[in-house]
Amino acid sequence: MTQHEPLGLNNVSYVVAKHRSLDQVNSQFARGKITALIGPNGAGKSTLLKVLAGIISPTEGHVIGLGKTPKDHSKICTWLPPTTQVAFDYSVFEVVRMGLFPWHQGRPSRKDDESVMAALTDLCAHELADRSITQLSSGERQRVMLARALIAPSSYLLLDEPLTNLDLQTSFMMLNVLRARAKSGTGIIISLHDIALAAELTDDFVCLKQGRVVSQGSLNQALTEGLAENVFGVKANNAAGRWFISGEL
Amino acid sequence: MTTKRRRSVWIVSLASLGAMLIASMIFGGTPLALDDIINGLGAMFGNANPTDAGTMAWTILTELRIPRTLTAALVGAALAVAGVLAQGLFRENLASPTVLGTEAGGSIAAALAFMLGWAHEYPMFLPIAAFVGAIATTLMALAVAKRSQSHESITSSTTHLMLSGFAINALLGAGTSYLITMTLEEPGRSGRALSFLIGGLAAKGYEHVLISGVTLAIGLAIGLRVASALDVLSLGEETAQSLSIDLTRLRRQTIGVIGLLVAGAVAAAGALPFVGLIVPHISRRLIGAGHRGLVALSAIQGATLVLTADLAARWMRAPIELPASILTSAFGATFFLLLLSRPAKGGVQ
Repeated sequence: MTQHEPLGLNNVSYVVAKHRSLDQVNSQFARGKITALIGPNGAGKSTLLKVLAGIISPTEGHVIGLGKTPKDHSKICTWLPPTTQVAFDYSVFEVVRMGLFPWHQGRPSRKDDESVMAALTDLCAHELADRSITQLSSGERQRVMLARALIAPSSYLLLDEPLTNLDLQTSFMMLNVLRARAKSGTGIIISLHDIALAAELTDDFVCLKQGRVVSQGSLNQALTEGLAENVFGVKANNAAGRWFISGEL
Repeated sequence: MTTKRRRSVWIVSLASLGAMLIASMIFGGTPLALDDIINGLGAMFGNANPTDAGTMAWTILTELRIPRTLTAALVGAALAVAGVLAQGLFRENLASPTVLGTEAGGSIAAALAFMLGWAHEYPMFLPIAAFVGAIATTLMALAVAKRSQSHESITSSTTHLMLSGFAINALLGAGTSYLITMTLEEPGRSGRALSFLIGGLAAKGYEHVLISGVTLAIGLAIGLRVASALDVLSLGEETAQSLSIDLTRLRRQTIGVIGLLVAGAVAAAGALPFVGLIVPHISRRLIGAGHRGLVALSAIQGATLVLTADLAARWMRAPIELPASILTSAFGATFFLLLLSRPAKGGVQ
């Protein structure tokens, strides 16, 4: 893992078809911490992650800590979309090894192969190694995609709704893996819909609504009952440090 | 997949190719006896007294069979490699290298050469015209690819490119039909034009070996180079981009090399449908989806398929030779229909 300037957004806006998906966003993302991006659908969470990953360029403002070249940046940030459709019948092993592509550039070493098995073992998915990716259930496939992201020795992991399709046990196992990864110095930026889960898992928050940051900071600073009601339209109660969400039909 | 099975696939494929290369050189309108070939070879180097049969066998072998066999193998390999690259680029296992309109570009240029009479006056002009037409169409596809990057909000740029290819194919197909109609008043000319456009391997010379061989060599070198990037592209364009793939460069290189391979094949043998579609599909089932192995195995199997089709085309209605394209179409279309009738496995759903 290389040392470089922490990732951040300086006055970043992203406009597509006259719609401001991101509007004047300023944020800093520390390494060694888990930052949750929360907000309702269409708030700009996925767009923000894509801007940080260098997949799209901001219409205004700039990304701080961007690699000198796209290839450099792909070693700094690893991005995982909410779902991945793999076009062909690759084995799970081959798919996970693609996560190291920025480093091996198509010429994987034996060490890379060992890393693949280690990443799969971390997520209790080693028994899937020889299976075809197209024959897995959506939950198994998501686990494999997480292994594909986690295998990368990058400084930041940008995870867009990574817990989609995972059962509860796997979700908690995943959260433990992410915590351990953050402790080792990786910055993890994760978009989540579940405020209670975000409060359990993360250190910092960036709360978005209609492309704007409405609140950000540490858990106690950023997340308030009023904010949850304002942003998500639900009732949120904090009882002894745990959040309980309720809504009205 | 086990290493043992993988090794078996390679051994059987190479053995099949070797067998078809030999069969294609020996069998035909005049079967060649090994003794006569050896006699002809000996006479060639002054080590034996030539017999009539030996001289004839040697002449048939070197002037007809070897260029025909090599052209068939090289064209088959080129179309199959182009198919692998097209399917990888479009992330679709039912995509064909003809989707960009390259083959249609070669056909219209050939039809134009016949209409103007240049193909008759200067025989070398025909493959050159087909090659130039195919390359010009590829450049058109590249221009569309460049422009389509600003249309990503409507469709992904690759889908845009695919749809543009359908339009280019239809447009050039209409143009070819018009040009052929214009030559109908001269049956000899229109007959030769149709014969070329239908696609086949009769009367091939070393110039056809050269054009298909050079384009295949370049295509294989670049195809193997972009193979691992195409593997990553199978995860989706945005994911590939986040994994250090320069999409614009990959798209240009792949389209360019598909164009070159198809241009070489069309210039040498006209249109041989379905080779580029079904061979990668069969190879993928045999050794898996990794593009590096797929490029190499498809080249071997594409060569074998076209050699088999050509041999069957020579044998089925002997002494009349059918165009090999009829056989590749019949086999390919049947295989394609079988694929479509089975539940989807792989491919972007």
